[in-house]
Amino acid sequence: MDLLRRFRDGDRDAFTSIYRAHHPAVFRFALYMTGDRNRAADVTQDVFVWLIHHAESYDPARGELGAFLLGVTRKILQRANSDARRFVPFADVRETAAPAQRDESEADELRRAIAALPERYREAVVLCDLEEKSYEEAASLLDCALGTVRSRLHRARELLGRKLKARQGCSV
Amino acid sequence: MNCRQFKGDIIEWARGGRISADARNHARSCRECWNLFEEQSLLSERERSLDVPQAPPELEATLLDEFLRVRRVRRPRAPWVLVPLAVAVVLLLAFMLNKTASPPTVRIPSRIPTPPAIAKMTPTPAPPPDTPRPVAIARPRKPRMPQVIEEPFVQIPYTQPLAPWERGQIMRMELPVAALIAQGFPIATSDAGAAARADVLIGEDGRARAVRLISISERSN
Repeated sequence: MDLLRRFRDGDRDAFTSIYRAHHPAVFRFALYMTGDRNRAADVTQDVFVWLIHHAESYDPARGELGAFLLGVTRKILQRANSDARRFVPFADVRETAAPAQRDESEADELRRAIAALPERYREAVVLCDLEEKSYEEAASLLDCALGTVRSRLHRARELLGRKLKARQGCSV
Repeated sequence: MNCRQFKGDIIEWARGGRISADARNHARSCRECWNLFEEQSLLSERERSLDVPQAPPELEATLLDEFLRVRRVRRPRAPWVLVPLAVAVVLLLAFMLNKTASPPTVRIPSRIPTPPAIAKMTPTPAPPPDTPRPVAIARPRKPRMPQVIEEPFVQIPYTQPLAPWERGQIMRMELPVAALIAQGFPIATSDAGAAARADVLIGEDGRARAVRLISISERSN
């Protein structure tokens, strides 16, 4: 609370502390959701710039700052996705047409598979599996029922397992 | 336990959750469910082995710059900026108090020669000279004895004289001497920036009709 008050009063050190405490989670979430390091960095920057300009928007009584920032990240990602959906860059067309690289690491393969999941499943995997949030926290963040999170996670994991198994079969 | 029930629990099991003895027995007996369990376990293992990505270090500096920029815009002015402003206000107040305190006055001649074009008019709405007149501007000063002024009102050139039935109001005010000279009043003073205390007769329409000079205050500098 004191840190937040100091941040709102314009204390540079307070802002640095908040950034250092929360930016890893924001960046990870953005990276897993976009699958692109540069885009994740841009989204992280957007989230904290938004926080700087709307410092009064966060109400501590409604939850932790970390969860609030993940909610902001999610909104910014959704807006970016809806904007991006209007255009199909040439790079993406080429990427989807090209065959998957054989020498990519297992981690890259998994990241790619996660990034290819439908958004609602991706969110469930990122929050529950990678960010290790509880079902309750994820449901609060995604603004849906706990059972919905659970079913989305199950469905997402089924899809991921199938995809990874298929790739494994191809590579053998 | 059947396969359907097992599949409901398998993901929780693969994520590190507890599993019942029934489910474990089913997995051992059903090849398909066992494969599914292995697949999900492998997925969990891979997820755990993912390296923790780090944000670009230069992002912090960029955001700090933005934070400082916004803070500069929002921040109220520092006290040291207000000091010159306060000094200016104090000086202005001192100047105004000095001006209104006791300016050196110059008595004007007992009778102002009336310009030939200006006709004298009788101050009909003004009270008799031996009674104190109502003064519109009340000033918190020491009570003084009412001063009897015998000077007549002089009509301001090019204005309609006050009609006999028209009601007027007399207001005492300070007028720039330069403005009076410009109106044709013959005022002998070396300081064109001086101010003259005068009773101004104002008609019902709010226009000044006549002026009676009382004194001229020269500038103190």
